[in-house]
Amino acid sequence: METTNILLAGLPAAGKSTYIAALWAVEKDGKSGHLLTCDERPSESFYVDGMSDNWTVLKEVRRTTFAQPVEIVLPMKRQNTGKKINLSLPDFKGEVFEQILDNSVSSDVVAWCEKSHGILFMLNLGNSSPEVLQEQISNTTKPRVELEKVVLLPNDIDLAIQNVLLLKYLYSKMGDCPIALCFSSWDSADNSNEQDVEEWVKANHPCIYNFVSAHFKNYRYYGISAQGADYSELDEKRGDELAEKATRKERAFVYRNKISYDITEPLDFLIPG
Amino acid sequence: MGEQVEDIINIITGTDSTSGTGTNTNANGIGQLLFCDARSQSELNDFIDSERPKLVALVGFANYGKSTFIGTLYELLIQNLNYSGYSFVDSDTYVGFERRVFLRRNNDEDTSDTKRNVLGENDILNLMLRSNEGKFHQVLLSDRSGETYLKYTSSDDEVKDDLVIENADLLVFFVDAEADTQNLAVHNLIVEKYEGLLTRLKAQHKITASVSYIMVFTKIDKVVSDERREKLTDRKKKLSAIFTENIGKEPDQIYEVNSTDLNHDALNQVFEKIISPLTSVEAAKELDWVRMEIEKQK
Amino acid sequence: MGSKQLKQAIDKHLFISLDDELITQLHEVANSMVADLDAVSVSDYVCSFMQNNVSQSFTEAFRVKYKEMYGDEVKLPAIVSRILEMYVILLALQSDEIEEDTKAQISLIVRNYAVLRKGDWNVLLCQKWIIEMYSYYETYAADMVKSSINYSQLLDAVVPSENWNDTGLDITQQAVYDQIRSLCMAGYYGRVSGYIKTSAFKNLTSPFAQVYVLVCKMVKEWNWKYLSLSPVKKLVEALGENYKRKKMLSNIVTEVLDEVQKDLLCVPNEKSSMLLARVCNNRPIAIDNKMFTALEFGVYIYYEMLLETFND
Repeated sequence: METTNILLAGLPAAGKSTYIAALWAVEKDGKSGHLLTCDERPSESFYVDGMSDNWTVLKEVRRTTFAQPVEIVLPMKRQNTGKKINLSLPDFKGEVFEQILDNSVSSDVVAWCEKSHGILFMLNLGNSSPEVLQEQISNTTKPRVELEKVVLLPNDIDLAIQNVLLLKYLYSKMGDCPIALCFSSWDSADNSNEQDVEEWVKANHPCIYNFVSAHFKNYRYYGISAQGADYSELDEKRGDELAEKATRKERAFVYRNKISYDITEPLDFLIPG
Repeated sequence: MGEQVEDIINIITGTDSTSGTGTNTNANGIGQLLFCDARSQSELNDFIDSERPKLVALVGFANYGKSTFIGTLYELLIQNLNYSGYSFVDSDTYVGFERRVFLRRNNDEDTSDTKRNVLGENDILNLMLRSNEGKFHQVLLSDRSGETYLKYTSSDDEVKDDLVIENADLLVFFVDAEADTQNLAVHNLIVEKYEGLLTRLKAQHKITASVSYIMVFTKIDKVVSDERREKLTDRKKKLSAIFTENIGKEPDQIYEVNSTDLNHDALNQVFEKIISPLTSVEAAKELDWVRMEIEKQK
Repeated sequence: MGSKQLKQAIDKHLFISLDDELITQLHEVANSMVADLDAVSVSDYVCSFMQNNVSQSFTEAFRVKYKEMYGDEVKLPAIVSRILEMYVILLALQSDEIEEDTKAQISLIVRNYAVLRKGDWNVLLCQKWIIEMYSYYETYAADMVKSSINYSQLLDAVVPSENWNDTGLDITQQAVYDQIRSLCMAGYYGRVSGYIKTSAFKNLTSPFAQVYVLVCKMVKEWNWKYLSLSPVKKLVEALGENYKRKKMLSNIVTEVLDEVQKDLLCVPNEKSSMLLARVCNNRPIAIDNKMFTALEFGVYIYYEMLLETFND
């Protein structure tokens, strides 16, 4: 079976793990009718099952903290052609960005960049809260008070620019490849005008828009809500509503210019053919 | 002499200097440059790809507002899809810019030592811009520390190795209008320091009468009273005359700016001047050999 | 001239000059690459240069040569590599080792690829060099009409030599040569003028199609290299006011293909014959949006076809 490697990239707390959790939870039974769905259960699925279980019970997605990135391989099928694809996604720890900034990128990251067909780039710009996602916080970043002198820390850099730096690094390794940029926590995004996502990015994050349009020919923007709602705002009633939506596979959604419950759309865009 | 004036004099003359590593210190205490950090003048050629970029040198002594100025330019560029007809699409020195913005945002820790630590030693920043017509061009900015220019006023050897001013397409000379309109002694010191700087630059052939330059008086929001406004008018004239005498031509323009006000008209005019591309030299008409043949034969 | 012309070209585009020793080395390497040039590499280098790129084949060839000669690798700014790419071509044209025919071909290749930059000339580096490269074809063409050529060649070019033996004409005299040339020129012009009056020509409604057909005949059927005539006057005569008609290349090609018979469409050998290839293959190219007057189009394809005759 053909393997398609997609690099799942993003800063800490961008929503990468929650997306994988939602993706697996929705698609593992192969009955969604979405553009991509699970073809058959992999022989081992402890890691993704653990993630999707948390998603199902409306808990933050916790990941086991492995030193090496975990390669998640999902056997999928493209609904419109019936083509079978092994979708391969690395689950990197959050401090990869800090490594990039420090010019000390691990060889795993470089290897993944070199073998990936496209990039699924997750962004969370301003709608995140620390409890949403339990990415491992880098243990190499000391609080400013412990440092002898005032220095610029990675988190001092404008969040949009942090994303641009990560995109720049990826571009330097992968060139002009297909890229799907997904703004997570879309359920909380300020898009009361129901703008097309690309217009929303132009208006709200012009530096990201300008960088992407100057470097990538084949790109698409999406809003994504993998959780379906902000957990911190859930009471029992809302929680039940969310669970009910999950049974109909209408909890997680993507948005370009309208809502779609098929969160495989960005992946489908990236898969060649 | 008031404490504030004494502070200004100390800053201008560099007598409050303390040692600093000049580099970012990570949690392990090792100084290092970060990804997309500012570059040094020895790396100028590395920015050249398909054409030589425009080089703008920001010149001025400590606290004259160069870094604040650059920080504001950067903020305007990243916050706007299009600024003054150009989109900011890339930089190899984002972190260099972010260092300058960080200082702007954290004024309470803004000692010279802090500045040196946060800004680091490298001063070359770059902007990749795209015009509305889709044409790309690059602008390099040199934002050197005031201490460096202070050294230039006293040493030919320091000036000799300079590559930035020598190659600059535009020189932007900064004057702290707030300091300049304090008492006469401070103004005289500013004049003396600039005279020293310009004399040495000229002697080392780093500037000639063909150079393009402007003067920017910063912190104009602090020059409020009539008395100070009058002093500024008078002292601007004097300084401009010094520059004209030493360089051999008048400045292209003199501006008064408030670098902390993103909507300041004069500030935006200077920015426009800085980011606009070099006027391209007209191509030799003989390159269009078909047109030449047609003209010759008809 | 040595490496001085290289230093001048490079220093103009850098902030920090390369040191003289390196310049000399770069010159020596470029010089050594002249002997390895062929039509393919010349085309490759010139095409890349005109697009503000460096060809991979040049980069690799230069790297290998430099290492052979100096035992090390050298890292150069992209702009220096682009200058060197064209410098090798310049050295070939300035060299006494390269034949005049070959220099003429190289010059035509440079002229042909210049179409890539039509209307956008000021981004080109080394403009003086390019203008010098154009001139080699002009010099060649001017030499062709001089009487200091091999007369038996001249005779054979006009008619088989045995037919002249009985005439008693001594064509080693300049005057006789000039008369023969005048006769040939008159014949050529006569043919052009005659053809443009024919219904075959007049029935073509598109001036671009007319230009294409006329240039085909001018170069392939009637031309004589010792004439070395510019096509401009005759094209203007043929087109009348329509010589000024301007269209985008993609539309020009459509018009030409609509009217010109397939057997007149030539399959070019030279990669630099881009306009001919565009017409013949009808596949979009990067310069499809460029505008040409009918006269400009005619001049470009005239010289492209002329280059093709070097291979015949």
